[in-house]
Amino acid sequence: MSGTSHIVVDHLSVSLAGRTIIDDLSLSLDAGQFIAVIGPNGSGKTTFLRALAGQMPASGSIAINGTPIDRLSLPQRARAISYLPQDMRQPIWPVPVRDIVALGLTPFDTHASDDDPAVEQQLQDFDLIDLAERGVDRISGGERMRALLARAMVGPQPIVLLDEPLNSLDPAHQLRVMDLCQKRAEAGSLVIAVIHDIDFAMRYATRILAFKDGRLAADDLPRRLIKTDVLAKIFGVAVAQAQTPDGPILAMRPHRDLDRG
Amino acid sequence: MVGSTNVTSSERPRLRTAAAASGAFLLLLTIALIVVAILSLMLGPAHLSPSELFRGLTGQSETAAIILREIRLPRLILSLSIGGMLGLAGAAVQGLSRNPLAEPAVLGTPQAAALGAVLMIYSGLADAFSLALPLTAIVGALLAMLATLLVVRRVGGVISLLLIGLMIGSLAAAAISLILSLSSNPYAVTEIVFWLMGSFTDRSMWHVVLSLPFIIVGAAALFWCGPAYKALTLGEETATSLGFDIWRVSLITSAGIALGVGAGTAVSGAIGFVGLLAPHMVRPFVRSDAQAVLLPSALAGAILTTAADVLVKLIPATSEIRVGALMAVIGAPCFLYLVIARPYRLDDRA
Repeated sequence: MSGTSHIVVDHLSVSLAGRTIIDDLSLSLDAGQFIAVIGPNGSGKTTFLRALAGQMPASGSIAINGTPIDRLSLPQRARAISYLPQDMRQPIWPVPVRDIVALGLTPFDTHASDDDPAVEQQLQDFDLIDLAERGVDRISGGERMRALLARAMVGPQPIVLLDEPLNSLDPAHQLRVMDLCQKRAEAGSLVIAVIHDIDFAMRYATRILAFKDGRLAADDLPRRLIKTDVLAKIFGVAVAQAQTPDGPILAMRPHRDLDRG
Repeated sequence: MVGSTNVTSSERPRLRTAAAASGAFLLLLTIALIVVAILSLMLGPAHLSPSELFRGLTGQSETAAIILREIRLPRLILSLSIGGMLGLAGAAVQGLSRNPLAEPAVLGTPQAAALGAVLMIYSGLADAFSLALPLTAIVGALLAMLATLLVVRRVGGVISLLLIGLMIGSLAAAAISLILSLSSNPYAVTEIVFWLMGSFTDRSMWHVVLSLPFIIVGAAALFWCGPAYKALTLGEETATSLGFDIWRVSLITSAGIALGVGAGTAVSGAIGFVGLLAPHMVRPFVRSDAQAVLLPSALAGAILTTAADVLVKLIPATSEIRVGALMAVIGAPCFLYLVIARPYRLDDRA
């Protein structure tokens, strides 16, 4: 499994403890796209990503290049999909950052060396060179997030799933991560990220999937979505826009501000 | 790889230094192992001088050769292999559970193995069929590990792992007490009590033959799981996304520990805390991922146990102090230190 990949999701439903988390979802996701998944808390974003990663029992089907994901072995999946989950952001063992990043190469080489050029590249990309030898238990939350992102991006998987990759990051590093995701998609990968910062999502993503109550409230290009009232509806807020030379800037405001204005 | 790279790393020499440091530490461990091994062969009721030891090993001195072959060598092989297995098992369980306080004894494995063995001694089957003791011990250990894993898989979490291990250990200990109190034969009771304390005294090559094959298979299983323990550093979801079947790894680890620790417990009795101490002793000196720590932990476990056994021979007492009791005396305060000083995060939730 290499090169480009596309995912076809057909009538996907996920229930947990009797509660429907994803409700009859069908869509197709193509190589070269940077897809931002947005939506309120509990709308099914993480579950959607976990299902795409094959880590969630679900009804319906998810097929990667025509092969149902449950027919792929775990190592085959690992070579097709790179996944940054939300759990375990604070490892216990004082493993050096460099070794954490090198872990991402495990699906391709069980004995991947921590001085592999790809590891060096990621350390540079995520601004981790100075932290490379430090234990992951001795760095800040944002630094750890970058190490985990570098781990997720180091392999050549054609599909990259990132659950809230901007958490704990300062603005400069948030921009950098979005930039790296965009480049990865431009290079032919399918990048799907759960993002809470709507402004970032609109600016960088090539396609927006907006979830509400386990259903797709919108699936559109950012520039078209911005002209609708979908965002205001699904988040229950007022969306303020300002035009800049770099394009529109979005900001969320409570409804009452809008009422006053 | 994604993106070409033009990095000419200035980090390479440092990496080599790190690798060399780990290499030097392994060498140091090996030297320490050889030293305690030689001491173990020399010391005993009849001390052998270095030259006598050499003559005994080369067969030039018949007396020394007999002492070595019949008494000292089996004892050394057992303390090395069982200690090594315990250290390795500790590192494996800590890696699997992502918990620095886990070890087979904390999870109740040796106690369950002991229960199986005690049943065999009590029923007299151990005398009738020599494989009964190690096999029942292995089955006991396997059942304990499986029960723990099944419950943990249902309720999840590291705290529950430790609590369930504690419960299984207590249950096995209570069952052993019950057997002891029901026993009408005081000699059997004495035999069981002394056996439970853990010792390498009066073991023969037959005990080596009984336990070593199981220990080798068990150890191989744990080493095989090494890459998965390393991936588990970042949690189950990440490890699964890296291609590891964590449920299978849990089963193989349980089987490996049950085989190795079960067979070890069957011939030496219960020796606690080695599995807890060995990984913590080596962690500051090696690249501290859960895989890299396996081999040094095994070496440290072998050194610790053999050194404790040497100490047992040196301490003057009317009857020899049991090595299991000695390890517990050393190990309990160390366990306390780990809980109080918390050099590691003790919970794995972000």
